[in-house]
Amino acid sequence: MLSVSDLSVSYGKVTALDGVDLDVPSGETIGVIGPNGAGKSTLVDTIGGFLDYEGSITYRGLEVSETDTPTLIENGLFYCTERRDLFGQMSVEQNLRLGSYLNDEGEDERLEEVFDLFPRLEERRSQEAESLSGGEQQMLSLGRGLMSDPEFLVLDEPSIGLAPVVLDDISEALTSIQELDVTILLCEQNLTFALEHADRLTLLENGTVQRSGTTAELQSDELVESYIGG
Amino acid sequence: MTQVDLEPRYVVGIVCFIGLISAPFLLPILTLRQLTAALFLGMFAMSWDYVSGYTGQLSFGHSMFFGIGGYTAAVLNLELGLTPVLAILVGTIAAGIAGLAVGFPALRLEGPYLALITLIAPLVLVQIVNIFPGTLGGDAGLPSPAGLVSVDEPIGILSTIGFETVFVHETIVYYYLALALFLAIYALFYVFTRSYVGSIFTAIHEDEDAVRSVGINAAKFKVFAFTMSGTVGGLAGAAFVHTAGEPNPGEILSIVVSIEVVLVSILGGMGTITGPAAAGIVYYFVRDALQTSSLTIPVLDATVGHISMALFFAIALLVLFFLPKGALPWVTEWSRDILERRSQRSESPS
Repeated sequence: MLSVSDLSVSYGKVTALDGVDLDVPSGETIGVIGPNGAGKSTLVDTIGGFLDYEGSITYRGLEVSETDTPTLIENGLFYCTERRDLFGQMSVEQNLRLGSYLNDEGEDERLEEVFDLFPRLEERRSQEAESLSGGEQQMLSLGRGLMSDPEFLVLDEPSIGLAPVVLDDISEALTSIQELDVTILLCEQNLTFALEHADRLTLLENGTVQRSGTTAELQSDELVESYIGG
Repeated sequence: MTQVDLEPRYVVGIVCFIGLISAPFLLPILTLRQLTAALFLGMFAMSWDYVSGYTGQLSFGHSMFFGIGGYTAAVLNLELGLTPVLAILVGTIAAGIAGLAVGFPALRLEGPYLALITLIAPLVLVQIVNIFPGTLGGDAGLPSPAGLVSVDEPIGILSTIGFETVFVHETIVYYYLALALFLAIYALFYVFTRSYVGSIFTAIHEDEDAVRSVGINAAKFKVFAFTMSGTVGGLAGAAFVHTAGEPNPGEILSIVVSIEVVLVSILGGMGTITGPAAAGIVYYFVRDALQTSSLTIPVLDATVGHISMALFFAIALLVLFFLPKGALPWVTEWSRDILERRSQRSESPS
């Protein structure tokens, strides 16, 4: 579904990604793990179409650099950023509905599905997004992604800054999303969370791929353990 | 009997509406003429708020739209003899095109760069007015074009209810025309800003990158906002010169007009439509009262009229200091507090 080949990204003279290769087959969840500064967020920002790059990123045959964000979304790709990118002064419902801007057919049904998945969002549907807790904001960000009826979700650190109890809710919701056959690229620093959800893992360090394999293969990899401290 | 528990702000709104409808019966005729002009300033302020208050694209030269509408309509009427209705229509379209032209830089420019473009445009227009004094009247402006409607004879129904003279009848007709336009524009903006489009405008105001991340073409909406704002600003300007004002730079085009509309909208409450509309009307009377005051300020040895703008800006700064969000949001919060206290009182056991 997504193929990254020999990808390099630089911020001025600083190289953030160097020759990265990655394949995300349809229906799978691929985890990208690595320490701070490894280039994980740069990778997903580039896949989301926000950064210039050298090499190739093709999503369903479309070269990302030549495709605008609306077209990517119309083709089923939705990127939930680490910043969450919520509209703080707008209500939960308004935020969710903006997610289906390019695909409003069945919007009300999807809204109900999102509320089924995150009942707390339904309780707060008229509340301003900025007044939500961190966990609820993460739910809203994921919910807004689901409102676009995605086939491929790119998630950047969905577990970041969340209390264990809230993390359980997010994890449960992610499992439900996976059951819908949505392909997921999960960028995570939390190895436990990544191991729980990913079919395959890629370990990044200093902008290069250090390891790549199935979750079972990498679970006991010394390098993976040493980087993540697991 | 059912008791309707309206929020105080709605009560204020209803009272204002009734007051506006019955103004010809309540106000002296000269004050009614002032109110007619004030309504146009309210419309102009709404047009600024639509683009700047909602999308956050600050326009510091909004007088260009008011001016283009006004000058185009006046010149077409005076030079080519177009009927006022047709002249207003063309003036409105011209201002809409100007809005489109200013909106296009918004595809590439943001923040201060875009604000600078909007600031420069009316300065260029003022120069153009001065370069062609024969056609555009230069600094002194053009003579008044023909009135929107001609009231040459007394109107029967107005005479019956006690209004005398053609002058009074004409004033009343112009007032109701201005009021109808004001209410129509208010309704239009109110509906738009509370619709899905309004949500997207608010989203653009909050975080343009986030808007892009959900696949919304923010630039398209910004161009749309500028075009619609320019069209309405132009309509206000064109109708103004054919009813209550004169086509001269000081009234419809100068940079002071641009600053006034920004200040009025901020004082009223940016992003509310109602606030700038009301503040526009109030400001017109405050400005007029200050300008015509012959009261001497002892230490400065100057009349209030001489330093009216400085006084107004000082008052505005004070208001902004104490009500940084503007008057309407403050009234709204105050109104909610009252309701909350009232409901707490009714819930507490007696």
